[in-house]
Amino acid sequence: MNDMAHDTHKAHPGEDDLVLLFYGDTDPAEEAALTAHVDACAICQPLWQEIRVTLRTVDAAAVPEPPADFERVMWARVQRELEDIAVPFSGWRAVRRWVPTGAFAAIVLALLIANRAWPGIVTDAPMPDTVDAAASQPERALLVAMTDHLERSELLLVEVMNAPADDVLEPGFERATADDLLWSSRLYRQTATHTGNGHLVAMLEDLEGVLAEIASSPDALKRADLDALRSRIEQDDLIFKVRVVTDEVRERQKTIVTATEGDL
Amino acid sequence: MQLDDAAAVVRAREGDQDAFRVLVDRHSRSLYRLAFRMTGRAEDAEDIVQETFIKAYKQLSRFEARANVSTWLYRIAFNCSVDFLRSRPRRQMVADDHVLEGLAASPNAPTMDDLVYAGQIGEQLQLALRDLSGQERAAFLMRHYHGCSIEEIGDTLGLKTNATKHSIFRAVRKMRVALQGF
Repeated sequence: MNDMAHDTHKAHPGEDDLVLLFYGDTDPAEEAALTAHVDACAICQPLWQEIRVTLRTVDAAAVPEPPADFERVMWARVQRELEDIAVPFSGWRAVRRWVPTGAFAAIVLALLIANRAWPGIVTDAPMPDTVDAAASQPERALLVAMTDHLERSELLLVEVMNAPADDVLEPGFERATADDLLWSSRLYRQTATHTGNGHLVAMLEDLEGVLAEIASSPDALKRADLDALRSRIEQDDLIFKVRVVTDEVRERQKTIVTATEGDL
Repeated sequence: MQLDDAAAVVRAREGDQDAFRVLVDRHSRSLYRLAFRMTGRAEDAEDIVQETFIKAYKQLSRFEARANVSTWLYRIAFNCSVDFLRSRPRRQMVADDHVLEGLAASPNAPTMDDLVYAGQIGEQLQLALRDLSGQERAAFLMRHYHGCSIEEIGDTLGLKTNATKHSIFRAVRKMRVALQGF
């Protein structure tokens, strides 16, 4: 084929080359040479036409539409199966579902203070390889709470980034969520500051800046303001940073769960 | 604000089944078409759609926030379809008898002649697809109907670039023979 591209009069493209051409899988320079050749070549034209007709005929083949209530029936089938593979909620997560984010953070921090234990994730110190099961309970609680906080923050950021391209956005739900997250984020940041985790403090500061903007946004957010907000999220690479910290927290959780199970 | 795919995944990951239902409602139909083309049977296509969503649910934590949800679901559906075809290699792939009835019920169906013509091509296409290996069928359908790149197809099917291309070439060759006269 490459020979043909260099000298269109000496070689003809093969069927495979023409299939790649049809699907646009040839590089631009080669595509131009192929097209020029096929347009001018009486030998190649019939094969090229046949391939095009065949593949366009495939498009005409119809697939029967499923019934009108297909989605409802499918959900019923899927939901039955999900009961057996439900996302596991820990005890803390179950509690979290009924308690506002900020209040939950306060409860967890109060427990930590009561236990006088500060978890590894909020310090810059390296994670220990071994975990004391009894001492790990407060840390586990904070990690679960932080994971929840970070996941909700990520969800909010994703929603803002993917909001419909309307001229005006009414961010009522996002504003209330951001307000709640902002409050708990400050608590986590204060803890991280106290224990010297500059990495976490920096990320939470960036996050709080965006949360504060969303929380204080007007009832109708103009398109330009939304774009500015998105631009800030992108420039700070905030979704990525939140996910990195979430992964770190999850890893730490796994270490604790494994160690705790090993002690049983 | 309407819940978009990425947000639905994040919420579903938190255990919100209503959010997962958003994905089922939004993508069931296109996954059904894909699965029908792969298997040629409505019942099998429905089973594959169900299996796709169950696998997706189990893999929610592995979904990357920046990835495209529909591409991710297509990949799972293709893999489910290939596994299905591997498990039943000799399965009858001729379209169901009620294919034309199903087509007639479609709100976009223009005329009976069109329906019959499309139905005939559909049946012939299913016959042609029956003669392809699962790998060839998946590679061809991913490229032709879903616009997947050679690299994406290779990643999904675990094939190198050349093997992916050759799967598509073989499929097209067999299509040309099967669809002569249309």
